[in-house]
Amino acid sequence: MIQYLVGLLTMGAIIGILTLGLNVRWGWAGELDLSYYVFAAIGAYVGAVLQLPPSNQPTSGWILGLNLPFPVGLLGGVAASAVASLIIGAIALYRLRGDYFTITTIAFSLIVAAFLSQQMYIFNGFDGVYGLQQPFEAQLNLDQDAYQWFFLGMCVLVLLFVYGVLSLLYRSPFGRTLRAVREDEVAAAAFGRNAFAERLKAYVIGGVCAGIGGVLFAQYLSAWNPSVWETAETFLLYTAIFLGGQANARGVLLGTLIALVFIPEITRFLPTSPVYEQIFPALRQIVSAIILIAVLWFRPQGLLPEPRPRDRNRKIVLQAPSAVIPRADG
Amino acid sequence: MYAAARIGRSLLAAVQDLLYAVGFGLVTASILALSTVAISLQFSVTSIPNFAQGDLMTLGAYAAFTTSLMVQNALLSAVAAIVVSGVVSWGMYRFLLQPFIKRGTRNVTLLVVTLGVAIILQNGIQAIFGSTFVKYPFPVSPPENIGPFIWTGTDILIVMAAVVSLTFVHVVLRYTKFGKSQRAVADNAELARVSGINSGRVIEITWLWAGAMAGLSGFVLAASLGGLTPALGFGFLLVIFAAAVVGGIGNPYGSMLGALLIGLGMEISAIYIPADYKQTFAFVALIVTLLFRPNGLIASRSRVIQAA
Repeated sequence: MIQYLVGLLTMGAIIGILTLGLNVRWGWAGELDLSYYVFAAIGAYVGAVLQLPPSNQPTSGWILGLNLPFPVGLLGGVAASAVASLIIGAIALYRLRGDYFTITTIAFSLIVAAFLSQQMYIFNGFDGVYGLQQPFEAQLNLDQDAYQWFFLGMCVLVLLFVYGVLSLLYRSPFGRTLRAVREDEVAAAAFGRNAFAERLKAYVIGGVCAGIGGVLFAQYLSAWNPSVWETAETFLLYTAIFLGGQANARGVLLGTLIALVFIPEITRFLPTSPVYEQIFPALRQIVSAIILIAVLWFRPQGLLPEPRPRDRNRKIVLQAPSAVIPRADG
Repeated sequence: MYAAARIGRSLLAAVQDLLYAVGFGLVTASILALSTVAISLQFSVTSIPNFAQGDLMTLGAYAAFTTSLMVQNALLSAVAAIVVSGVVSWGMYRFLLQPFIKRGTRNVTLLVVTLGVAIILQNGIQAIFGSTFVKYPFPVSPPENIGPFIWTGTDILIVMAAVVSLTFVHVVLRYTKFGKSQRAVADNAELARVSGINSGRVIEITWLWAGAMAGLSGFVLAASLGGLTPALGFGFLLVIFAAAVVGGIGNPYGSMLGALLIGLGMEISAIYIPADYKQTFAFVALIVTLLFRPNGLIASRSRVIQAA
């Protein structure tokens, strides 16, 4: 039971890192990106092939295979996600916003998925990469149970680090500029801000978080293949963000805990029947979609709303950001 | 002399391949045209990309499948697909999207709502029918040479269904009172309303109509593949968006052109690049169009950097 909880919390911490990163793209910059898991996947793949030994299959297998230690794999994976975010973000954000940006990101994620599935020699196609060693396992020489605790501790530390850095960024001049761009791009541009550059920065920061989460995720599973990163997975991350509260890091973590840890685990204990084996995974998705729509209707700002903007003079109360409060007209 | 004959023969073979690809492309374009015109009609009055469109197609295909198990009649199955998808599409607008729109919810949030509906439909179908491939019980006719193309009986029916439906769209939009109101609402809903058009009703009927066409296109898509899975429509959705965007979303005639270009392009590209990249061709066309000609070939309205 304890081991089960440790595993669950590890998973929760990793997904928490992913949702925090997606929150930068959607909550801070206001761009609905549906390709997010692609960047986690790129980080995971690159992190894996840096650590794995060379593959010896003739037609499939993977590139590199450098046998490098885990920290190098982590840095390499994160760098790969950041570069991919920079390229895809620059193309998608250059002229497009709103719906068309979203459609473009899905198109990109399908192109990457088709490419990686067909070009078997890059990341071994549908079979994916496997056989990852657990980080620091050889050096620490712990037994299996103690090692699980160590891995959990590492993931939680990384989560806290990401949370801390993002909180600082949120309050920084960059964070303020980004919110101004999100609320009114034209007004922000009129005040001399380069909206494209600010949005692209946010996109890359989100991509870095995706890379960190992706590398840890692959380590946890010790394997990575295309079935892990479908578009539906990104949708589940959005459920957590909308439920917890967009642009509020604590809210996002709360949403992750409820929507992505608690609810899936509860449904796991429901009785399963062999005849309707497929009902439960399907029902789980239906439940998250219903939660999402209900949240959008009853509490569009989420459980913990984004903090109201404050003037430096504390006596002046500013209006709540319009992104999280529906307009009353219409 | 021999060399010339060989070149001639290989040239002939290349032309033959191209013609076959055009034949397949016309069938793909027909399926695509039905769904793209549907999404365009609906977009013209509501201005949100409906991510549930693909799953409305799947729903129609499964409605037709259920009917075909009871009565082995393709026509009745098509009617079932049209009715079920049309009603669900109307209900989705009337009871879910319309309340959100009345509240003034932003477009991006509405998009998330349609995505939620897509997930519910797809997984609902999966919970009932399972995720395995099921086949229609209709007899399969062997491919035959028809003119320069190779088509099966199903292919001919698909092309005919598309021609009839698109003619119907054209006639309704151009020559009926409803079509005139629909075009007025698409142009400017507020202005149409003050001119005495019941905009609300026109929008509702348009959703019903778009859903019906989506159902029909789902049925013909599944029929052309021989069977269906719950992921059928969602996988096809981005190809529909590609055709709609290339042609000019919100404009039914642009969408027909877009469907023709994407359908032909996908099949012809399969001669020169691996067939697994067929859909990738459509996605690349989508991105390139959005970057360089964002209003599509036949523009209906500007869409670069709209207020989010």
